[in-house]
Amino acid sequence: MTSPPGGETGKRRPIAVPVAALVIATGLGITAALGGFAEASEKPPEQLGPGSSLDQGEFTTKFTEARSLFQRDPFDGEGKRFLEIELEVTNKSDETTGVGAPGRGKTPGFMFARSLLKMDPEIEGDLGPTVSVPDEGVPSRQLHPGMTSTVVVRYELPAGDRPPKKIKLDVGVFEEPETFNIDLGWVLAKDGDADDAPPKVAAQVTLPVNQGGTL
Amino acid sequence: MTSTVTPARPETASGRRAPAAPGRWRRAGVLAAGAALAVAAVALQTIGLDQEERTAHLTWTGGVGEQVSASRFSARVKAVHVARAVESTGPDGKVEKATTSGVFVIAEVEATANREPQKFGTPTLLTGDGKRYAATDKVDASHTITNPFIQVGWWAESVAVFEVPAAALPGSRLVLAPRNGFIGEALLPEVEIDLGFDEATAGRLTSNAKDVYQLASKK
Repeated sequence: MTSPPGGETGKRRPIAVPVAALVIATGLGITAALGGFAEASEKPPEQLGPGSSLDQGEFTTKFTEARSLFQRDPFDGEGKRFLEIELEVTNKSDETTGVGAPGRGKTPGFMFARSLLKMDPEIEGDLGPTVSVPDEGVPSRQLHPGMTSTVVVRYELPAGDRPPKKIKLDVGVFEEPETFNIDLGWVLAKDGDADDAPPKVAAQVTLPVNQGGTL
Repeated sequence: MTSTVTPARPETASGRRAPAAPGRWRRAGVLAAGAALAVAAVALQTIGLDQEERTAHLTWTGGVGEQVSASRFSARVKAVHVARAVESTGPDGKVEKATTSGVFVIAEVEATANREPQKFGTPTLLTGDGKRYAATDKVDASHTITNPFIQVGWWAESVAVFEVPAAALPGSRLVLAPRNGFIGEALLPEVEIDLGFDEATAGRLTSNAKDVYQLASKK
């Protein structure tokens, strides 16, 4: 009479350990299959269109439009074509900074425009785009705190190239990391914790290119 | 010589009670000293200068119209203007009119050096809410106080031009410091001159702001 409970417990004990081991092994297996314990990116980049705004930490940026421009050249029948991206940038930080330039290949970008991580299609050319605040009488390259500036990123298209129908920009965000003893200021947020992690793509902005403008 | 030294050692060794004990104590002492040094080294890091302290200045303060004397130079703000646009001749000789979404603050400044000639770095406007505005790049630097050498014996006159939102004006101070070299010099002197904007004067200056302020092209 007393044997069934004793027998049951006797049966239960050898099962518990293998079951637990199996559960743990399965769990680890699934974790490993999903990329291990490395930090997964929290969410896919936000998809934005023309006229939408992005909070970049140091700045708030509105992606106004993309347009193609044609500049007739009186001496040469070809003329020049440009692709311009117009942004409204508000500096939310405590000090004046500059429009900077996006990174190109191994050359890192700097200041505001380094957050324009990638453009698709890429525009071939020896020089990168020019970035400025062109429409206030005298062109400026400064972004003052608390002020909103119209920033224009202008690419010169290689001779003979047609401007793209639409472009897609990968845009990063800035953060002020708290570090031990060293103040790095605003830096691009990275995708992951590794030192050499690429900058995080916070948003992908797709802009149709308004065609037919002339300079 | 050696004979006099060698006998001395056994004496000191025999003077101590156990030969094994000093070794252990010494090792403990060395470990303790090592740990103390490591702790001290880590602790010292926390009192290291941060970016702000490393680039800090020695500041002399004053108001508009006062001669503010720092260790290497003296400066005076003669007048302050607020305008919606600034006209000046560009590097190519054409007249350029710069506009802004905020207002331009033009400070007429004069300065003299105490011992050796020097040049000012980009002037800064420190507003009441603690923001730092660098002098605008819409006015060619050749028109501003960063251009002339500040010499001993006479006062160089020029302007510092800033672009700020009108709401940021109250409590603004103009900050002038000598240009820093490639190897940054710590604790450079600077003057911080209160432009005397309270809410009322800032509002009055903004509403009465000139449409265009003309910068003299040549003195």
